[in-house]
Amino acid sequence: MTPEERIDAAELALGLLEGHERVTALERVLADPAFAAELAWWRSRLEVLHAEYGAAEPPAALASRIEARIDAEAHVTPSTARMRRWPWLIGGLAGGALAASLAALVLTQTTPVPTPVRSERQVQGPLLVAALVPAKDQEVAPVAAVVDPGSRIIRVAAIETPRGRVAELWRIGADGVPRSLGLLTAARATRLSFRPRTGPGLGETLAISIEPLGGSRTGTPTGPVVATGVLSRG
Amino acid sequence: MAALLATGLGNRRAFRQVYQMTSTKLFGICLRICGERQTAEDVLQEVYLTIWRRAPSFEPSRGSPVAWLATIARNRALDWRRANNKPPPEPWSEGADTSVSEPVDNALLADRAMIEEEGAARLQGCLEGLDHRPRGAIRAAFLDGLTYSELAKREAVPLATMKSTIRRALLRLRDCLNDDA
Repeated sequence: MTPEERIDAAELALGLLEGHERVTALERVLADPAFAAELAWWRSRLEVLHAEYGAAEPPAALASRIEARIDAEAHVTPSTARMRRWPWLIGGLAGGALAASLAALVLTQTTPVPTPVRSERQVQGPLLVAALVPAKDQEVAPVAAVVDPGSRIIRVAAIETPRGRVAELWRIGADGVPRSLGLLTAARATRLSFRPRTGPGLGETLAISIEPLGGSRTGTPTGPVVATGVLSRG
Repeated sequence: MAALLATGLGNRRAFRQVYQMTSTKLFGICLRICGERQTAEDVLQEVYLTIWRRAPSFEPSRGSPVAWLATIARNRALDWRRANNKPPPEPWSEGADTSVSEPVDNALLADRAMIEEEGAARLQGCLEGLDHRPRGAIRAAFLDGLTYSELAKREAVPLATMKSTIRRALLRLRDCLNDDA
């Protein structure tokens, strides 16, 4: 990576870019793991600046308003207990930061690919994004995934797979059951499409497992789950 | 840290504790980026709902809880500003030179150790090595959430000038941060 490219990542980390430049940089995060790693490097260096924000007292009533809203949506959120059936999910989201920032990045850019035929459909729904974080002890950059509910397309950044094996993408919804979304191309970004009402939604978990060639035959992950992440609003 | 982990397990009491410990800090972030109190209050609600939903995915080995929470607050506030096409707030009242950071809320002091003092000192040291103008611009980009064009407007310089000034400064910052490693 050239010094110039490192600065491209810094611009993205600081939030300096907008419009087309931002889209281009974001797409690069998806396509180029080295660039994604450089972005993560900058983020972790810059995050100490948070200490410079001053404090301010919110109104006392706010706490109870927030709790009331949590109560109100309690019955629609996937139950935590259910999620625990899949202990590997707890591997978590290193990139809380990365996912959140990707979300912020894509927010106003719903037409990242300049293909006229599809761009009209792409603006229909907000994009969902996730940073799929490697399981513990793996020094690998998070894998970015973007779901476009409008055109029913999922794009996943490149992931390395062992020779003779294949990476498979799963969604885990409120019921805690993994459902396959398809196989990922080795070492290249993959584009998958899904049928109506079968795509992953907001708050669902995406996971990547390593499977025998051809993919899992049992309908659930059989190999190690190497990365997971929760979809948030793009 | 413990409170955030317990929040991730669905513990409401722990969530209340997280709120007590961090709400003044996160409200400060929302207020600075949004620039208006009513909006900052609305955004802060969204921030804590997001924290409640995402707490199960907080991974302690990967960074400080304060940074994790602050990032959510900053992004939510920026989301709001962009979605509503709001201009950035007026420059925060700060000295001509390096913005003097306001005293951080006492409840956070315990957690501040988690912000990796070493990393903070290193970044500050490297920022000090930059010229006055790009240093202020980089701080404003982060803290106020400003883009190149917003910075150029605020400083009343051409966009291209602002870009090249900041890119040069970032290059120096990268070298400096690397040298210290």
